[in-house]
Amino acid sequence: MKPAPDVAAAPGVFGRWTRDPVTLVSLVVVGLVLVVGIGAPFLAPYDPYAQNLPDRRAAPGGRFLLGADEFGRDVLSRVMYGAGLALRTAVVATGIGLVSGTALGLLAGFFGGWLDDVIMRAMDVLLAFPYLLLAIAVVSALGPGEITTQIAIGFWALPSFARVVRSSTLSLRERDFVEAARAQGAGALRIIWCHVLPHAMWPLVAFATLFVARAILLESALSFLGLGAQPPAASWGGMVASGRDYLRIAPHIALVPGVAIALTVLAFNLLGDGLRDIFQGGHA
Amino acid sequence: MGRYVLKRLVWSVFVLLGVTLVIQATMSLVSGDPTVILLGETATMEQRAALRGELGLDRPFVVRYATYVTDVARGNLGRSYRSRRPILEEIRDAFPPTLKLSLVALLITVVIGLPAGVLSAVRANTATDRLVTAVSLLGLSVPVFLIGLLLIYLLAYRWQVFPVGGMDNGAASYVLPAVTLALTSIAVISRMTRASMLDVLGEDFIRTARAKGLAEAVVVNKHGLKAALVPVVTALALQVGLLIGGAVLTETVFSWPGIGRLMVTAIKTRDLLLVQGCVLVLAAGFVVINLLTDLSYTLLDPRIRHEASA
Repeated sequence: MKPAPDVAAAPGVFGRWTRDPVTLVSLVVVGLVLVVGIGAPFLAPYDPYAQNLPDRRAAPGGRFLLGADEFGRDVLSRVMYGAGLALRTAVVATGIGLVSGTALGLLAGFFGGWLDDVIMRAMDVLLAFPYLLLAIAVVSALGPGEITTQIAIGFWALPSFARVVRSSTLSLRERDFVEAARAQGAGALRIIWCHVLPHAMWPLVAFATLFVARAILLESALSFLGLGAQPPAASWGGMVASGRDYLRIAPHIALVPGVAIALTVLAFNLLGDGLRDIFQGGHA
Repeated sequence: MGRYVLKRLVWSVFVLLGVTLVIQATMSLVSGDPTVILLGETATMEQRAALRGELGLDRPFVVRYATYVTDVARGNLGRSYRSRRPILEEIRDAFPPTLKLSLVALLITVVIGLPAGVLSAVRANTATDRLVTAVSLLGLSVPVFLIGLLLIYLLAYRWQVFPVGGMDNGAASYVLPAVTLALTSIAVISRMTRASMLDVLGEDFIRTARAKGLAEAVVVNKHGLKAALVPVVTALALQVGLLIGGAVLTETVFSWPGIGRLMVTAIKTRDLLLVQGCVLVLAAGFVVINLLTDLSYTLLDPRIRHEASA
């Protein structure tokens, strides 16, 4: 059985991007961050780990466009490598939350009853943890590092995705095409996979984009606290933390990666907002 | 109404049990021998065995969890492995600075966020609205620790208006950390108030109030804002969660001697029980605040009061 028809129309809404300059600009910025993050090994002017003590804390300009850090490492190169690490962590973490949350949300929303109660009450418990604390609890047990950060953020993302998918599933399961599939004798899993999931997908894309922004912020917060990728890895939050000690004499060490975080998160937020408007418009 | 309150109370107890379950489960995630992490490589076999017995690591998870919940209910969160003091005492000492800082930040959030949101809604689609929207989006995108460092750089180092950190300088000590902590919440609350006000301003009773010839300020402040407050109160309660998380970062940036800094220090020294104790106390506080918020709706919105009584 083929996916339901109006999903095919969803890519058509992408044409609206050209009419929304803010979304378009944010898409360009996100694209740039992606290119820089993925291509850092080829694009970075210097080795991000190469220490050059005579140049330590060098101001921006001259040999180092954005200055050098406390070990004389090129800040620009480290920020470029940091983009890769931030994106990798955010995308993997969002992926973990997306896949597990979607599965649980589909099950809860489609089958309802006690399964819905059990799943959603468990999600309520996870949401009862204040921001950052669940991730801290997980990382403090697993030990700091890039992979544990991804798991911790993914775990934190799980209930939000489950809630969003459940609420779309609740309305989708009452739609005519689901009834039609059921009447034709399709099994529950087949209906979920072929009919419900494709329809729940597009609003989820916008939500996931907004979530990447949150994941980047959380990754940088964990790295800032020393719980993310460990030195000498070039993590944006870790760079801000180490630059903090030199804020008075060499503010660029902390501020450059800080601005990189803010710009990237802003671009993902704007893109997510734009996508949400487009998809909501598309489905209205 | 009494039944509604009871139902919410029982549910909150279940959530708290769930929170303790998650916290206890994270302890099972500890890779390797927890006694090595807690006591270091140099500890003797006897010390390790004693700790294993104290933590109940040789017992099944269910038994360990039941013991943990009983201990927590008695107010026994164990002892810090570094200071050997009871964890509850450590938290009790660190709690007042965090509470004071969060309350000041919440006050700043309400004083700035609410009027900004109302202004934005009343002047929807004007330059003022766009400015408020842009600034709040920026507030949601800039990390808390960067805001803190920027404020320190400009207002403490360059212009020397406020102290760099600590809480030894009276009211002046609060300004930079509280503003830092409040900025994200201001962004959320102003967006929320704007959306809620825009909904309410389109309602019939507002049109009626205007038709009666009431002054616009009375229509907006008395009729509009009161009705728009319910979702904003929810958002404010959720801000407490954000403020608690933000406090961990803010206290680290400003060397503020609160529970956030206590937790970060505990993480760095691998004092896992202390980390768990802090997480538990903060999460429990958040659950209680959510409960109080739910109950406060019944006072704020007569429709909910009637539904709750039904």
